[in-house]
Amino acid sequence: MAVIVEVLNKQQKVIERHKFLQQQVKLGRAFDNDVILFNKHVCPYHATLQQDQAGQWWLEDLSSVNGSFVSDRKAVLAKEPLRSGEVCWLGEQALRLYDDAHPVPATLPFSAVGQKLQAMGHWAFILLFALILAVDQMVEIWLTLPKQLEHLWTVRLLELPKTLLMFCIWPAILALWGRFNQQESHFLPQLSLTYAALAASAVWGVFCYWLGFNLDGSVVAQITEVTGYSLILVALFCGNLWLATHWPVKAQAAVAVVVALLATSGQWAGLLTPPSPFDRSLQYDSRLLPLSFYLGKGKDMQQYEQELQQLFEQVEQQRQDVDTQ
Amino acid sequence: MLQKTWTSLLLLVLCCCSAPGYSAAVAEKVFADYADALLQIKVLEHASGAKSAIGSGFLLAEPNLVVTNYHVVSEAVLFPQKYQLEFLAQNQQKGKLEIVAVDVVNDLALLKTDYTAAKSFQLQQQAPVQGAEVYSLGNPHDLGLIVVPGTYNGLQKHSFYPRIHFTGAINSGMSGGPAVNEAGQVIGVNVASAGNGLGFLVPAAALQKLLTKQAVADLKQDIQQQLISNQQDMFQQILNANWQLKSFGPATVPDEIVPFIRCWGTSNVEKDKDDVKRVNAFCNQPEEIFLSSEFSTGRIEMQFEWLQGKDLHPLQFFRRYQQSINQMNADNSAGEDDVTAYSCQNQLLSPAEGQHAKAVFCLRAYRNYPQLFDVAYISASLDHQQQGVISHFTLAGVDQKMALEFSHKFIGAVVWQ
Repeated sequence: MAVIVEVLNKQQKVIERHKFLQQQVKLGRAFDNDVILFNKHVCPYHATLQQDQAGQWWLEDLSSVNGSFVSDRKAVLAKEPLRSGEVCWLGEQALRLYDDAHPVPATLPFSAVGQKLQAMGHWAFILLFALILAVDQMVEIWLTLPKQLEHLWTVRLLELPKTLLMFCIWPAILALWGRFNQQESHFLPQLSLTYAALAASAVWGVFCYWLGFNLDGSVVAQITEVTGYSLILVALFCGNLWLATHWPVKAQAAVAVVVALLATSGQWAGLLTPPSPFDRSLQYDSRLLPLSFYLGKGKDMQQYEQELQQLFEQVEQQRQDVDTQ
Repeated sequence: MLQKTWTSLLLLVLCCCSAPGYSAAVAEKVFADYADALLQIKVLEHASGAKSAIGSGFLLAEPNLVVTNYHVVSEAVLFPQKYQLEFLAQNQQKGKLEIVAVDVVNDLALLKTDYTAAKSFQLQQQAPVQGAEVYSLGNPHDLGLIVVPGTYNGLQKHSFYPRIHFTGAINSGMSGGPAVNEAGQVIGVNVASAGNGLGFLVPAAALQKLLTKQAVADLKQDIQQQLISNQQDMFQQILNANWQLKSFGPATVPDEIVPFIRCWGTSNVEKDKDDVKRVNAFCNQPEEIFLSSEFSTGRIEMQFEWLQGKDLHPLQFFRRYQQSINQMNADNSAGEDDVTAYSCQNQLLSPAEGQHAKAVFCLRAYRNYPQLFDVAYISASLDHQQQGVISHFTLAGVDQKMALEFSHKFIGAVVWQ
């Protein structure tokens, strides 16, 4: 019966895997061992693995300087039995032993989402999202740049590559993190995902501008806007984590939601906290579009004056509420 | 009789010597006669005993009351537990003062005292003639009592509140001191300086009115009543006026609708470089009613802007248009304890006749003076692709009825031709 010896790093991740058919495996730093270890606290001839008649494997310590240990850091005085899948230590070097009949986890099927996420790494998608951002930037410049500042077109346009480069940092960090966790780096899919979120935010911003104008800057429009941005961020972080980690889906979703809410907390706080009387600038929605963009009918003067009367009552109520507090 | 004597004396003296020499002599006499009746008013904090405000005041003969400005003693009116009033006479005599009545609109306060002077002030019964010599007395900057000679120039024009226009240098610490004629009769109370030797006095008539008023139990409630009736008077006058409109770009807007609202205008038409042509008009009633060092009220302001971007795409024009309506601010200062936060109502208006407009109406209530509000309104016309008119007003210290009637008339007055 064959035995498999895994050499583990400090995070207990497998860095080497050996398979032996013999009944004795020599472990140590010396080159004539069966498993040659690097760790400098391991002796040249540190320990051996031996199989007895009954097929049981034993770890035998060869009077090493730093000792050998089995589960629960129990020191090996002469020899200790090892079960399949159990970890043992030579000094601080962790090893794991399997026999070849040890069951392995079920095959992970390709997930549709995962494949789509990876497919997003295609350069065409990245280009598409970058183009959406470029159009958004150009429209913004076209809308706001006064005639006398026309020479600033190129300067303002150059902000776009700067933004795009800056948003490479985030996928790069995620790629490094993935590498560190001994997974694929997925840099391009992460990059594509980040640009997609930026492009979605830009499109959402345009939509909300129109929505805010149409709903007369009501609270519904404001909440919709911030909710939209939060959802875009949740989706981004979920995708990021899916690509960079092997955490359970629920954990990924929970972390994504928390991080997204943290990132939008400023906007939420602005929506949910009451305005201060110290604030001399008034809080209202100033968005303006040509009349053809307004789908509703608007109020006639009579309705408007009724609404103003309600506003007076409301403010008077606020005054009384503040005073009774 | 006394006046006749003075007039003849005046003629006599004018023949003999120069006017300044004469003025100085009379000033000296007035000052010498009434020095005892001129007081320094101090607002002291109970806890620390430290001076928190200082001003001038004077003793009236009949009844025996001290007169000063409301703004000098406002802290003691609003926070009687925290502040007390004290006077200091020329002879270093000190004593307590008690508030009897206030008139915030005319910035006057009457104080009770047991102090008596050899010679106290009397009110002049009829208004002086234009150009008459007037002597303003007071205690500027805690330096001791002084007298400033000047000229009576009648009532201030274009002012809702009657104020005597006085050419003489009134300083801040002289607030509450009297301005007297050659006979030492009070013609007004020092109230404000407009710099450059321009000063304003509250006429004696306003003081006379306050003296005849019945005593009130609750000063704060009385102040609220004064504010309410003052704004009613002011807005009744505005609403009853036949509003004079002026043409403003493609529209007509209200102009100087009542004498106490003045208008100015600017534009950038000469600057061809701008892709948006802007024309502005601005009207206001600038006089404020002082309520506390943090809180003033009573202003009215109207503002109009006509924007035109002939070479701009409508979307481009509307983005620039938006930038012109996103910076509306409160017009008067107020502390957190004085007002609630602003609440705004945002609405697209489509009146049966007239233009579609986006209108924002913001409102805050006065916490200590029920029924009074500050209002800010801004609207932008929407019917044209490359031009628009913004109309804006702020009202400080109005009640609901006046605010709504004013809004109605204002919105109706901005008309496209």
